[in-house]
Amino acid sequence: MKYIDPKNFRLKDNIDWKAQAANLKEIAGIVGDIVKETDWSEVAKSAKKDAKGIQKRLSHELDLLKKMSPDEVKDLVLNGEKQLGKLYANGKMATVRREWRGVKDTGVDFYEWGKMWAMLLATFSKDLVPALMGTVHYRWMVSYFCCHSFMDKNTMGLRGRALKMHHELIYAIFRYVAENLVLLMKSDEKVGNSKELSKKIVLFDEMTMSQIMAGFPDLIGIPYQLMPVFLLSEIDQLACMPYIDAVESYGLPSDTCPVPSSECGAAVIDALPHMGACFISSSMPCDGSVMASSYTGRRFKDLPTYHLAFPVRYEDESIMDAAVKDIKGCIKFIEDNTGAKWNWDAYFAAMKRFNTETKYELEKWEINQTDHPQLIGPCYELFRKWNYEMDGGLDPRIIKTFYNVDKLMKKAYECKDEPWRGKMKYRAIVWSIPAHYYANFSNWMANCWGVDILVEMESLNFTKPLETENKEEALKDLARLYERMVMRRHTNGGYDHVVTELWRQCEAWNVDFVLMYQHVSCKNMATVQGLFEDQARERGIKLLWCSHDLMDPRTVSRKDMRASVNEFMRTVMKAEPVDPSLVDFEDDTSW
Amino acid sequence: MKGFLRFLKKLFGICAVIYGILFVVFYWDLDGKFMYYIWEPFMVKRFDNMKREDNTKIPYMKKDILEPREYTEIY
Repeated sequence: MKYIDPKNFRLKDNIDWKAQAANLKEIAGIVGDIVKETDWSEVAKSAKKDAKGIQKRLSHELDLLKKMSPDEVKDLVLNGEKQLGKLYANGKMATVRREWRGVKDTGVDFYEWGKMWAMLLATFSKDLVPALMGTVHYRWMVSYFCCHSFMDKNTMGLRGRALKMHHELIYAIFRYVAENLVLLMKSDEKVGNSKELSKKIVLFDEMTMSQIMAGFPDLIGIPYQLMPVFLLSEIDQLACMPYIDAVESYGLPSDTCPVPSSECGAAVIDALPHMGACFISSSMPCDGSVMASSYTGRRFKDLPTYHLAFPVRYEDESIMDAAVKDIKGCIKFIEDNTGAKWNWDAYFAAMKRFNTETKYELEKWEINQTDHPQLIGPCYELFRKWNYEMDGGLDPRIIKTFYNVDKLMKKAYECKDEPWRGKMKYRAIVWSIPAHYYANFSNWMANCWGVDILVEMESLNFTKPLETENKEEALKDLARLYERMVMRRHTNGGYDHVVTELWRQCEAWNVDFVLMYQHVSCKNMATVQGLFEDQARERGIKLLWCSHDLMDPRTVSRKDMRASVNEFMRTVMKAEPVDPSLVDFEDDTSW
Repeated sequence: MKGFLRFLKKLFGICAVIYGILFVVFYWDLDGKFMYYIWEPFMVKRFDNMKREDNTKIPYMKKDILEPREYTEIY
């Protein structure tokens, strides 16, 4: 069967066509207003100023070109530029221009840019009216228009096979995003209002894994806050501020984690779409999330809610009965609220795929643990988390992505490729919670200081193949998997899973230092900070502490985060930057 | 045959022009600049003036739609 079932995009029943005609009229009116209300002289002035800047840069770049030896020119044409800091303009969101990566790789980048636009337009065209209405109704939809900028930031400096691999991964994620955005808008009461589609949708807390939906092939599982809040904060650093301000103005303390704060803020200012047959919440990954789940559950009174709350005792198999009972309860809850029936064949087929994907993932780890790591950087980190949690083997097209990447990765390993050519100097892993508003931080570290982030804590999760024959055992494995949702294992799993585990991983990945994120609003991780420091000193492991506030760049800006790294690299590692143009630049107002 | 070749030449020319225009848009990040200068400022103004439902006006209480025990007591 084709995934996503095309029927879901074609469902037209219960759509009020008169209202849709009115919507179309409204959209036309908005476009007219854009033309009328835009201060074109201001736009022209800014564009002129920008054009002058471009001209200045062009002549500067031409001067540099003239001063270059023929060999240097040849290198520039074939291998691309090396000073990436000059792509940013102070106080601007868009970059001055895209990176010149050499003839071949710029061609690849151009092709992928076109492919992404084509996919987005084709997907949105599957039901254009609700998609357009969503765009003009929800503030967060605007940020998805910068997805190309997000792609650029995450692939900066990459060459050859590494560039192709990263594009494969990010394309798969954005295809999922685009398709789910259309379904969200189509079923949302305020926009598309397709009741028939809404009845098929099961909403999830954004941290709850989607594998349980593999047993319901006729239904659609959508992580509720993923698009309006969670992923949004990775694409646009400025996007969550209105939500945080809204909920704090109602009295929520400002030291609460910005994830649940933003989610509750989105509910307060009516930024969440409203649809679905039921809602599955979870105890993930901390008390803040429990608060957000309860808040969402209580605010949307018409959405029946099931709290999937597993015990956090991973090593204790005696709790398995309770966990399986919880899973069975959840299945029955979905059946009762949607009328669908659990399908073992569909579940086993998807989990077989998920097992294959896990096998591919382990191969990536194996290669990254060698002296020639290949698939590193933000696209890989994001893809791993998305595949583990949101996709979960449900989409058969993802196997092809894994296959293509695996082929490229093995070839690159054979040829001893360098993803960032001539820049790779230090090995590091990330521990603790990464900053959403600086999703491409590891890309900056690679380009500026030659630091290869080999893996992230959140990627190191459950890798045991799931049972695909015995039904009782399969439910136990599903429970074990859900107990180890992203972040849950480490931040809730107790001392051994977060502190001792780090020292084990340092050995396995043979690191020069650890990038220790210090999420200033995370109480769980704050409790073990002293232990990390004491034990790292005893073991002679270097820790680079880097503060951030997850989704709120006003507390610790991207520039401040870079400053911590700059200081550490100069004073502790006695290093010199591989690209000095990236050491200090302004991007506080960029996406 | 000549006509066909002329058609091919024209087609190739059109494709080359489209390719060139798209490459200029790509390389100078004109799509990003459109979002920054035109699309986003307008949309932000629109969203700032949009009337939205105040969800805090909904009575804050627990739901009574389902009995939790119904699902947790499955053996």
